[in-house]
Amino acid sequence: MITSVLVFVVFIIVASLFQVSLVPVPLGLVVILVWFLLRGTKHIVWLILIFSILLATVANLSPWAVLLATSLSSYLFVFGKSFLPARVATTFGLLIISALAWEISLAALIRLT
Amino acid sequence: MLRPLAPIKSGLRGLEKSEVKTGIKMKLLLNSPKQKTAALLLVLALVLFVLEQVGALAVLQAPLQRVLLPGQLALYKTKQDFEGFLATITEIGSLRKKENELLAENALLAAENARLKKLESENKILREQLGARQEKRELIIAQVIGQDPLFSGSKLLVDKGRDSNVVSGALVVLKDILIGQVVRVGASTSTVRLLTDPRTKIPAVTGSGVKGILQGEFGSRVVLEEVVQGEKLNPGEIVYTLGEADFPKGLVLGKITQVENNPAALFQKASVEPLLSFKSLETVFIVKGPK
Repeated sequence: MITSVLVFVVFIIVASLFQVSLVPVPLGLVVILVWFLLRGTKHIVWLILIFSILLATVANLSPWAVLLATSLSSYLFVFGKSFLPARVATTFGLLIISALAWEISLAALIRLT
Repeated sequence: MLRPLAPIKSGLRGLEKSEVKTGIKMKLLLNSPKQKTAALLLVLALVLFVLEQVGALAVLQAPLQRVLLPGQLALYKTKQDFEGFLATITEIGSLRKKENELLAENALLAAENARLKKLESENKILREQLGARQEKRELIIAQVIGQDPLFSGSKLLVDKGRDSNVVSGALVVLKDILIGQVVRVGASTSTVRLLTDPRTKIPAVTGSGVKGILQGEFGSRVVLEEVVQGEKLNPGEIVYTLGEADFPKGLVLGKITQVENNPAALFQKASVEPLLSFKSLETVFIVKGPK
């Protein structure tokens, strides 16, 4: 279990660096949501916290804003998953909606800072 | 004697009951693991906010930024090189034509440069005779290490921060071309808001003296707004900073590409194209000290 958490942390670090230097897509959020699909909500808080601090550090953002945006979009995904049919297309659609929610909420929260 | 107190007692009992009910509700709300997680995340956000405000987070973020900086720089350079390689492959057919056009443009610019050099030396002599001091900017050289993590963003990340005395509000230039303004300073990195950002508003003037406000639109284009009807805007004209709102005079903002003139409107509008592609920037200069 610890090994898989560590592997995911490494993925989150790489995803944060890729997001800032290569493609402006919330890859870290995708890693967190994949973790949720595989393992449920266990350890998800720590993954969200690590992702928020890391992305805030490499992208020069407010960590609390990243944390709130990531929490909101993760909950949107979890909520959608709980009542929508378990199909690959639905999950993929939810993933895109969560990423969009992350973009919008973070942009709004950054305006506050 | 007891009668007048009865309603108060019953009220108190009512209050206790409602308090108990609220307590039960709270307990029920936090009983679900998802709700407990949500509450924990909210508390963590609050803790991070407080830690950021008191500056305690810098203890963690400053060394982390220094460790990750080389990786960020290497990734960004790789991306730039890859994009350059792809552009070469896709444009290989038109490269010959472009080269000829550039050679012709280069010859014209060389002639203009020679004329300007002559004017510069004359200007220098006149300044010396008049005793006018020329303003010299102290610059900090910075490497671009990343972009805005938001898809809709129009910002750049550079590898200089508080460690190199960068301050929020400092202007970012390349030669005399204004690129943007530092909006957030970290320990060893800073965020630069580009001209294309919707929050950019700079008093500007064209080469022929027409005044307006330069603004970013949708994070992808720049427009010259609030130009009075009747003023003549010409495509190809260079737009400069006017020297107001704390921006120094004469910094190049871009070139007018298209004029949108609606006679019924109060003002004219023109699309402005920055002289540099912000996406391909690798090195920029931060103006030290206040704007």
